[in-house]
Amino acid sequence: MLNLVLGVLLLAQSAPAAPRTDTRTWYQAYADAQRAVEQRNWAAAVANIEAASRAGAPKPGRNVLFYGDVYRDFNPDYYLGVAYLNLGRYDDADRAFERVKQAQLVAPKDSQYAELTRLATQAKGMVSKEAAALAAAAPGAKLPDPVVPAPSITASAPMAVPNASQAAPMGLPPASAAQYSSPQAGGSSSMQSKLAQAANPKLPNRSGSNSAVAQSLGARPPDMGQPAAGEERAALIDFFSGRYVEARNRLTKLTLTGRGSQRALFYLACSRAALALTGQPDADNAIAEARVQLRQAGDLAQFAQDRPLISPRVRQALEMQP
Amino acid sequence: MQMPRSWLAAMIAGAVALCPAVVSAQTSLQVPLQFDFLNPGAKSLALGGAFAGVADDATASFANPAGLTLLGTPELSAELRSSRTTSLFLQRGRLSGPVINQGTDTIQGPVFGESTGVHTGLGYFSLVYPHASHRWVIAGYRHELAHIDQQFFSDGVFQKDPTEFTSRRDAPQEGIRSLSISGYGVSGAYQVRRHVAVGGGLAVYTFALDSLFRRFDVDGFLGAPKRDVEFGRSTQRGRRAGLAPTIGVLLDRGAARLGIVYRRGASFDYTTVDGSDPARTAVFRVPHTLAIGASVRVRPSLLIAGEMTRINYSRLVQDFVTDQARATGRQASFSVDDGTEWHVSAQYALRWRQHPPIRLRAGVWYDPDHSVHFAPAVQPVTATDKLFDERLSTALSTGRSQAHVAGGVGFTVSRQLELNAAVDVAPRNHVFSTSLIVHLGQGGLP
Repeated sequence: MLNLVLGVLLLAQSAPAAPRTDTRTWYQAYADAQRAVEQRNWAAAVANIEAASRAGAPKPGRNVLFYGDVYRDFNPDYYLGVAYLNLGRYDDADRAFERVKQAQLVAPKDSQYAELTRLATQAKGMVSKEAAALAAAAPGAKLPDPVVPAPSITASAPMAVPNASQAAPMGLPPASAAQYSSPQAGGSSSMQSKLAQAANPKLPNRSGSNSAVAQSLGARPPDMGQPAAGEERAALIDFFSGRYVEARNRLTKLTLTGRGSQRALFYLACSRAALALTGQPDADNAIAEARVQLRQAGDLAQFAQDRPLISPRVRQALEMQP
Repeated sequence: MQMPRSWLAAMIAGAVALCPAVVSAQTSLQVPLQFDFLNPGAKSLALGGAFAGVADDATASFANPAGLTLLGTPELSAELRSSRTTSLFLQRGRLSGPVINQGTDTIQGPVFGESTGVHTGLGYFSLVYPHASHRWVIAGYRHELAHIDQQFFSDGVFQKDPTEFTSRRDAPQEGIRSLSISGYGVSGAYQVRRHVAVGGGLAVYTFALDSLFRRFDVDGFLGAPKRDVEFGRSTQRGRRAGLAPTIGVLLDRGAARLGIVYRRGASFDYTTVDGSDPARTAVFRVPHTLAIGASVRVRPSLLIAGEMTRINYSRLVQDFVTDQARATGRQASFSVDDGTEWHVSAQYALRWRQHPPIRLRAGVWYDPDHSVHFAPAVQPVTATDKLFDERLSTALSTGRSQAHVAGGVGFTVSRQLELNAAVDVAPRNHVFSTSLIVHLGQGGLP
């Protein structure tokens, strides 16, 4: 008997090693995602939800069998939405919350409902701001005055989008359009989708109104040279696309060469804080250094239009007053 | 008054048979000690014991430790189990020769009495802690492996060898036996690969055996037993602890699962005092168990499980049986067969409004005869040997294979609490169990 059991154990051990080392079941990965949300580790939350999906998670629903006789509501999109929202991936967050609503996984009587509604509204608002910013940031589009707020664009009104040749200078490869369909393709799908739209007006426009981000992207300091302004705008696009490393690098370069504006310092601080919060590599004391850079940027009142666009987490990390 | 010749002869022969030499040792063998190794927990019981390939709750710490890796949260499990076990023993009657129809010799053929033991108690308790990495899990448990209470009284059967002119009577005898084996164990499991987990455990088993067998005089050869006149007695006593390991493996492919468990039986010393003979020590060996089980989730709501369990009951023969037969010099004639149990079961999750489904379970299992059997190993020469063979062959002829039918239900009372209830019914065994599982903390689960 013992030999048989030992034989099975040896057989199991001698089996070819799987390329992945993640041995978790889907519900264990999902549990880790929820724990990550509790710990405000948004990037880990997204990664764990994706791991749960890879491990064969069932369709979201109520009273889903987790294991044994444990039945729970399985609502990964809610946690995805929360994580995306805090990562600044507003379009992904908006879509995740929409899936939660459509699946009716959070009913009005549920305790999560009020929070879902609040977060979904927040995500949708940010998506609208992003969309407006993109419209304004695209070459050829009329950039709003840095001081006077831009007119809002309603959801029913079509966005002014440039053609593909105009989109190219923004530095994104044409393939970014293909990434639109995958909300998990990276940290920039939201912005990429807008840029893809810019490149191809026939793509459906999923964005709404408001142009606060547009103002941010378009507002150029009057004393900046044109090349530096373009570089700064590209950095801001990187920032709002979730490409914090690129944003940091561009803005660092600008500030080190003395070509950066105060806003460049402001967004450099935000980029570094975002990097630290999302667990991406940066200096060990990134937050502390970012706060110094923020102070160097001067009076925060001059960034009144930018601050609402910054994630509450980043603002909190940088100790910005609301 | 003249006594009939047959009576006189019978009394002379009976006097020989009632001689207490070696009789005490035989007595304990005439009530088979038979026990089952059921997995703990009401869920397992309702599934007909087919749990090695399911192993998805806290009872896995005993049933198949490798299954512990399936658990998502710390769990506490407790079971209250009640059992009723009936054993047959040779109570009275005439095995050979003509019935005299006087006194207690009035029945042709053997008459078997029933010894019924009822026990209710904490069958299982465990606490499981999965590490946050989900790769390893540890658990502690207490499990009542066996609990047997038996009591019987035999008037003594009548026999007659064809070569003799008179009958013989076995001395009336009483037996009281209590056996309890409980394990206190620690289990651990490790997720080797995504679909492979291994587990192991080490348990300290406590063993308590108290047996008293007495022989009595009779009121005349054909008369009633005189329970105030003791002929002889033997005792078996043991209070020991022994270690025994368990190892298991679980291959989990999501919808299908295969589990293998090997559990060694512990061994315990006990002391026998037989009449005025010097006390001697023997060993009680708990059988080893190998279980191979599989489960398939045919649909999200339907689980089918099966298990084959091989138990080497023959380990009981060495010492425990042979020691009792030692005085007869016929140890080789006693045997206990190893047995293979077959378990099949199903669980259906019945959806009920917005609540977690109610789990309905049913199972059947085949329990092979694993009682002590007697088959003369040598040809008897003397009449005494022939009658001994006849008596023991009859007394130990009642062992039968049994089919068990089990069923039960499981409820989710709250996010933290599950309740299960189950019953297992067989011709000579009834088991009722209720168990609860408490999910401690959220552990990340919503």
